[in-house]
Amino acid sequence: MSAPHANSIDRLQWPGPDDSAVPYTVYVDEEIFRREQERIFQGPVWSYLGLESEVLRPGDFLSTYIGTTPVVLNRGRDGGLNGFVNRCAHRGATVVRERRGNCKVHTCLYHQWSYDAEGNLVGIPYRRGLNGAGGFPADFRPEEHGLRKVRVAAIQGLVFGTMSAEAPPLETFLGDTICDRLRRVFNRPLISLGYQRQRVRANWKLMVENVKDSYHGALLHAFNSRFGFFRSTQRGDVRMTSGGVHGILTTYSTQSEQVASAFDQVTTFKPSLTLEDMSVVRFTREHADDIVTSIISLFPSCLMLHGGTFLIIRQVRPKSASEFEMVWTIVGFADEDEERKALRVMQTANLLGPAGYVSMEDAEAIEATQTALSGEGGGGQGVIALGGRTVENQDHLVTEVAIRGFWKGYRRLMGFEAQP
Amino acid sequence: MTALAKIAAPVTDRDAADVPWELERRLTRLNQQYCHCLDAKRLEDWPAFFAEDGLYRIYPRENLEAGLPACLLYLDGHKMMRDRVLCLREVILYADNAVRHFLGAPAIRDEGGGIYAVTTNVLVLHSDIEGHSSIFCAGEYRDRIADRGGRLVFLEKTVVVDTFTVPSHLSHPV
Repeated sequence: MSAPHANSIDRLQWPGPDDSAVPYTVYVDEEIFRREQERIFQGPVWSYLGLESEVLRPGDFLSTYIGTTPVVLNRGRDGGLNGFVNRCAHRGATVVRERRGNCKVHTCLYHQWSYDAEGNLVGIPYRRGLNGAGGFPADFRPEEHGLRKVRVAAIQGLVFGTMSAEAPPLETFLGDTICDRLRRVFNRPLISLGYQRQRVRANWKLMVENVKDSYHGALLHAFNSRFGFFRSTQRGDVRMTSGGVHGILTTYSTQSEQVASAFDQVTTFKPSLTLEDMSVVRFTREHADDIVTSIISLFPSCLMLHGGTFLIIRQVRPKSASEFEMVWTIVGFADEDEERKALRVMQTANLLGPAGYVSMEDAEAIEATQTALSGEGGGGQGVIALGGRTVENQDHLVTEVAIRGFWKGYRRLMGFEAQP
Repeated sequence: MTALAKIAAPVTDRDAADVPWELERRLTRLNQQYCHCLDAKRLEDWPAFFAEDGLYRIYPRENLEAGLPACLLYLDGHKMMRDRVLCLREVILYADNAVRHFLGAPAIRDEGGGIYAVTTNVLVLHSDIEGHSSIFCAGEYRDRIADRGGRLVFLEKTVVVDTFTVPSHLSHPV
C-alpha cells in the first residue's frame, strides 16, 4: 500500500467521518503546504499583523508575513492603516528590507522604483527614457503597477490583514464570543514591550494544535502542575466561533481543588520541589472577574495568552511543511508603570517564550512529533478523541474539542472531505 | 521588583583601556572558566560565577535596537539562578545537545573601585544526538565584573544575541 501523499492531494481520504482523526500526511506534504498558502493564508481569513501602537505615527511601518508572503503594515499620511505585499511590482525584489521604521517613500534597491505608504507607485527612473532613448511605452500606467494591496482592519488595537476580497468583515470572521473576549482582555491602549522569536523544525499546525490542546498542559508541563499555574482539573471551558476554527480555552478561579489524587499516576508530577524565589510565579490579576487565563487561538495562526501578568500575542509564520517561526510579542498597557512592565518582562522570560519553563517543552514536544511522523512517508494518523468526536462548546477542559474545530474548518477550506 | 536594569553599552576598541596584563588574563580566564563550566554542563556550579545579587539575562538584539525591554531570560540573583538549575535538572524536558562555547578577545574598561566592564564575542555551537552541529547563538557578553578580595564575580552578564530567532528552544544558560 502506498502512502497517502504519494497520490494527488485531491484524492486525499480523511481517515474517518469526523475530525477525531488526522492523517499525518498533512504535516509533511509540500503540495499540501502550497495549497494551504493559496486556500488558507491567501484565502478568506484574517491574519494578525501587529499592534496599532507599533505603527503609531504617519510613515511608521513594520515588516511581517501572511503565511509565507512578506507583507508590510504602514501608517499612512492620513493616519490610516495600509497593508501591501512586500514585492516590487517591477521585477519582484523585496522593497522594504528593515524590520520596522519610518519613511515617506519606500524605494526598491534594484531599479529604484518607489512607493508611498499606501503601496502606490510614485517614482520610476527613466520613465521617459534618457536623452530621447528608451523609456516606458506611452500607455504604461503607474497606477496599475502599485504593490499588491492587503486589506487591513483593527480591533482593540490589534491589526489584522487579508489578501482576499472574499473575507468577511474582521469582526464577522472572528465571531461575537472572540470579539467580546478581545474587548475584555485588550481593554485599553496597548504597547509592545518587545519580542521573542524561535524557529521550530515542525509543521505550523502542530503549534496551533498545541495551543488548543488543554490535555497536555498538566502532563507535559510539570512546572505548571507543581505550582498550580494550570491544571486539567481546574474549572474551565472551551468556546469556539466560526464553525470551530477560533477557540478560547478559559480557566476560572475556584475555591476547592482536588488535584493531587488526579496526578498520583503521573510521573512528571513532583510535589516535593519548591522554588527559592517565588517572584517568578507571583501573579497579580488584571481584571476583577473570575477568569484566570484566556488562551485564544485565531484561525489560522495567531495565538494569544492572557493571565496573571501575561499579555502575549504569538504569530506563527510557516516556512515549509516541516518548519515554522514563531514571533512572541510581549504586550503591556500604555498606561502602566515601570514596575508592572518589569514584572511582565521578568515573568514572561522565565515562564514563556523559547526559554520559558512552560513553553520550552512545547517546541521540544512538537519537534519530536514532526521527526516521528515524517517517517513512513507521512502515513498513519493521529487520534483526537478526548471529549468526544464532534465539535461543540464544552464546559470543561478535559477535551481536545478545540483541535477538532480547527480541522473541521481546515478541511472545508482545503477541500478535504471526511469519509461518508 | 521595581524596574529593569538598563542595558550597558558595549566596551569597544575606542573606549577600552590597556589594563595590566595580569588583570586582563584574570578577566579573560573568568569567562573561559564560565564557558568550560557550561560546556561540561556543571549547572550546579554556574550561579557561583555571579555575585549573590548578580543579574543574568539573554537579550535579543532586535529589542536592543528597538529600545524595548523584553528578554529571552532574566535571572535576578542566586535564588532565581538556582531555581533555573533545579527546573532544568528535575522538571523540564528538553533536547540534550552537546554544547561548545567559543570566545573572542575581550575589550576591557576599568570602571574604578575594582569593577570592570568587559565585552566579549561569543559563539555557541550545538550538536544533537545524531551528531549534527549547528550555530545555536552568535552574540556578545556585556559583563560587569567585580574583584571581591581577589575573587572575580559577575555583577551582571547580559548576553546580547544576534541570533534572536532561537533555534528550537533555549534551555541551558549561554
